[in-house]
Amino acid sequence: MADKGGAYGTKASDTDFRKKWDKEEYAERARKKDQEEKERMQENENRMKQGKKPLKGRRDDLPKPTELMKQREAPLELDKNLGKTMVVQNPGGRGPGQPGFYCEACNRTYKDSVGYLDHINSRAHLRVLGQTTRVARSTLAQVQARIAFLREKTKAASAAKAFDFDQRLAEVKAKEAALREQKKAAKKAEKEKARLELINDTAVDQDDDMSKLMGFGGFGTTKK
Amino acid sequence: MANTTVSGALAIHGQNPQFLVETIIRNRIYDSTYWKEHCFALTAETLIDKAIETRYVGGVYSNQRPTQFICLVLKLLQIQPEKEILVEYLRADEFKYLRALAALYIRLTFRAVDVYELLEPLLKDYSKLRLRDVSGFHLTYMDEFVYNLLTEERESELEQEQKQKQEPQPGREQRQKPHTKQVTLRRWVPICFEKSVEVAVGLKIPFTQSQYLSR
Ligand SMILES: [Zn+2]
Repeated sequence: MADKGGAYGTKASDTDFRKKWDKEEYAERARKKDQEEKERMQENENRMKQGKKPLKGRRDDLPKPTELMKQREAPLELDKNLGKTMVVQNPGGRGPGQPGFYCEACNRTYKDSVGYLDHINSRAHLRVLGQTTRVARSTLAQVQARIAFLREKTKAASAAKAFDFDQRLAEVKAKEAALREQKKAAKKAEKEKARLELINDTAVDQDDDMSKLMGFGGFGTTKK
Repeated sequence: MANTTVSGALAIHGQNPQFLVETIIRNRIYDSTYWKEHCFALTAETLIDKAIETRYVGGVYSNQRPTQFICLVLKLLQIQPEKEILVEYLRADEFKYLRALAALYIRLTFRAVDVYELLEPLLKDYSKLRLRDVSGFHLTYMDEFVYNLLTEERESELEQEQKQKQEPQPGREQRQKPHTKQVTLRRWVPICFEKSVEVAVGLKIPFTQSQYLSR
């Protein structure tokens, strides 16, 4: 096949929708993979000679962790989607959009919260985040400052609550009074309406008699 | 790692401080969601927030589930804060659960002299504490809680070592004498915080509350 034509020089256009593979690129990728594998084998051989255990997978070239282990800032919200029906956007593939808990940093999905929690507390995950497994030591000054801060906060909160209480009491009272007024007004209106209706009815009745007699309806509006 | 004791920690009573919590309870704590989600990477500073959020003291409840309180005790054992920090915890009198937490930790780890010196003033703290155990919620008070810490062998499912025995203090032998007896008698007290009145009376605890206060 010198050129990509049909047997009689006709070009099939009905298969154009098919994916065109960039063969060069894939060949390059395969070469790279082979090269890596070869290097790994060579290194393993060297290790074997030195009496060390061979490496299993290929090593990630992550920089050495520099930060200390840190607390997660945002709450995890593990039960955020509890009881919800979700659309699976990526069926059968790896990566996000799969059912379960997804770790963005490591591109892994976990089926349950326990596995996910274990993962995000794990050394591997911390490594990706650039954290060591050591936690910072708090100083006395930090602790004192934190307690002072929390003390102020709770004091402010309790003060706000007390203030709210009086205000809310007044609010409730006002609301109740308004409701009572409204009820009263509604009742009054209803009474008035009933009275008017009664008057109208008698008036209409009288008119009816008259109209029958005369053969036509009354003057003016027929609205009640 | 998430469950290892901080490196450079001092051994307490000759072992890893975390071993002061019984193995079964400890493993239950490691498995609990609260531990994994909220106790991860806590420092002495951030632990204060969590301690204030706790609503009751206790060891385990219902089906041997660990309370948040006991999780935080284990966390303290893990990170081993400095003595001054714990004193600071004790001094925050409006945060009673933080105070109770510090009191229990001090009782577990400090030398006998320090324990008495630090905890005795708390016998004048009459604030209410909620206590949760297998049978449900109970009401207790800070002075009662601390009194139990000073006199009882087992508190909150923790294996408290008989540290008074290890470090005899001059002038306090009288207090330490009945200790071995306490150990044998109190070993059968099954559930945390559930103190048996008969045992307490039968032991004739040599230092009563009034004696503490008059000293
Ligand atoms: Zn991860």
